[in-house]
Amino acid sequence: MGNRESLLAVGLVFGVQLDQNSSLGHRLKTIGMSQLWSASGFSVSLLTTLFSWFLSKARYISLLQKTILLLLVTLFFWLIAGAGISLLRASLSVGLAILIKRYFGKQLTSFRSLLYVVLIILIFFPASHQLVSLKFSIAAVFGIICLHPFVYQRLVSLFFAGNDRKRSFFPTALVTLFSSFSLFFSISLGMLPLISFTWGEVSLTNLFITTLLSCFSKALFFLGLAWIVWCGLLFIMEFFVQLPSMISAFSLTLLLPVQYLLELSEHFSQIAQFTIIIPRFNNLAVVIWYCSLFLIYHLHQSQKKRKIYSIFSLKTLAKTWRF
Amino acid sequence: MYKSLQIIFVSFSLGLIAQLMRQWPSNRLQVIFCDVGQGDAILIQYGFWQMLVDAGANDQVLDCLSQNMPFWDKTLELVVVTHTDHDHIGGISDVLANYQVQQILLADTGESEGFKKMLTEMKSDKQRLAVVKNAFLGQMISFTSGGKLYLLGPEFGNLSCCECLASEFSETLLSDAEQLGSVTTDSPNERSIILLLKYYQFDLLLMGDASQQNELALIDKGLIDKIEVLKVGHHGSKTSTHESFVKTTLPEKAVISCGYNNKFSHPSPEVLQILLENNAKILRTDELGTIKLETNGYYYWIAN
Repeated sequence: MGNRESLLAVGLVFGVQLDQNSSLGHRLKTIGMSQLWSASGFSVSLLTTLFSWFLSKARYISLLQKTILLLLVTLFFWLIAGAGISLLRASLSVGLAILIKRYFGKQLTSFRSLLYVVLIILIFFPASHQLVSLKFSIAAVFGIICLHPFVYQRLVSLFFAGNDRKRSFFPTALVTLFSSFSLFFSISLGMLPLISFTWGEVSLTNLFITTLLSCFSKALFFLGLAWIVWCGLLFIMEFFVQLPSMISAFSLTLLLPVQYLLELSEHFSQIAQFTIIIPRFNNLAVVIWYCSLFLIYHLHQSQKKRKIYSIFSLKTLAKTWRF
Repeated sequence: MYKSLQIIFVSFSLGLIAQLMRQWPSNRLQVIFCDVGQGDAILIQYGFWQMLVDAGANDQVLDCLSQNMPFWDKTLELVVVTHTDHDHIGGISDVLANYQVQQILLADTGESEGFKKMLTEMKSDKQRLAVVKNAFLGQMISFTSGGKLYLLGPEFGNLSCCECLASEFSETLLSDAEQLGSVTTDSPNERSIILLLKYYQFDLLLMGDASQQNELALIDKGLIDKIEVLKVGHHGSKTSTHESFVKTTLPEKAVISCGYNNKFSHPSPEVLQILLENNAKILRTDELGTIKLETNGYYYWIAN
């Protein structure tokens, strides 16, 4: 069985450290496809959702036991995926959301969740404020929270006005693409000040590639999960029976999508890189930038006529921050 | 729910059928000069029989193999390591990690990092049945009734065993035991394995990194004649491809495997001049990417 493809299939769930010296690692990083093989908040939320669904079927387990199991799964995933600080942020967000939902009956808003998690991380790991990966992670989530709903709504309303939004295949595919684009666009804008310090440029080609591929990221995650379960089954079966060679051929069939991805990466690497140079942000510019994103978030919420955000004032800001 | 599952199943089945049709091996001989940057990696396949000559400098060779071999076939019947320079052996450990190899043809041992990685990989469970063979002039490998592979060099193999299991070979070399191989003053390039592939009326000469001295020796011994395709020695360096060698072999096509904008400035203008003067059509991997030749034994053509 191909080691490389197998490792990459497992990496779709748990992430994989791509060797920058290898041609594949270098290629995937250059074209921005490496994000498919990095465990993120997206993977944590998918895994916990799936596990919650399984647990909801088991009626003989108490709520407390279910909550503990769910938290253990999140912790286990974080440990297997390399116990990185950015994944800790995501795992804490999910853990916090589960606890508050289960025991306070409240749905924690994404913005509050981010604030609490940052607070917890800074209290327990004060040195982590220097970590670049944490800064990028927080900035990306901040971008998603503030901009994604706004950009997405604008894009959809631009193309599908009123009754045109039928749930036929083509519009659904387009809506998924728009959602994916607005997500990565928001992430890029959220991280822009950090990008200006680190690389000084944004690649439009990479934005296009990540947008396109993220439409399939959910399917790829489940493919990785299916592969892990299949390998686990084979591992157990090998103890009892001699597996026929046909099983190996079938296993390789399961890895076909990974092979397609690698082929796709080779085609993408032929595309010319279009980049935009980002001027270096000074401290004031960084503050103005994030305040603007926050303002957009509030304006959008007020447009949606949510009472708590109807008036943008210090009072509502305090309300947002309140537990 | 069932509709979604049906869509997934149908799409997967269609993809599988498309992949099977695309990768099902033809009954012709295929020679694929993989684009691995500055290095050599040549995949030769006939039906389900595959042979790899060198593996480039890194894992780029895996892309070439996965694209050109059927996805369900993870076995290479023969791997030839022409010599132990990094640009030929660097990717071998990746190949051994991903494919089951039945035979490995070697003529020399080496000290390079790539060679050590290869030895470590030879000890893996995957390669427990692989056999290492000492390569030297006069050997012949037959892969089909009309297809034969002749070894034209080096004159003698430098391995301590003639034929042994890869794990044993690796353990001997990784231990501090004294090597029993012959002592030679030739450079690794001069000890490069030279292969002549004959498939009915189609002749292909793979020169590895052999030097002009080796080429003249082949002419002196009368081992070569007119060929169809030449894999130019040493990536088109001026240390290889002697004019009288080209005049003797008169290749119709000359393949040069080199990296785009490489630091050695390969291929050299002198070599290109010699080839052009002798009416050889030059095919370069740095310009064309991976080059795929296909032949039925009487005609040959570029497949991509």
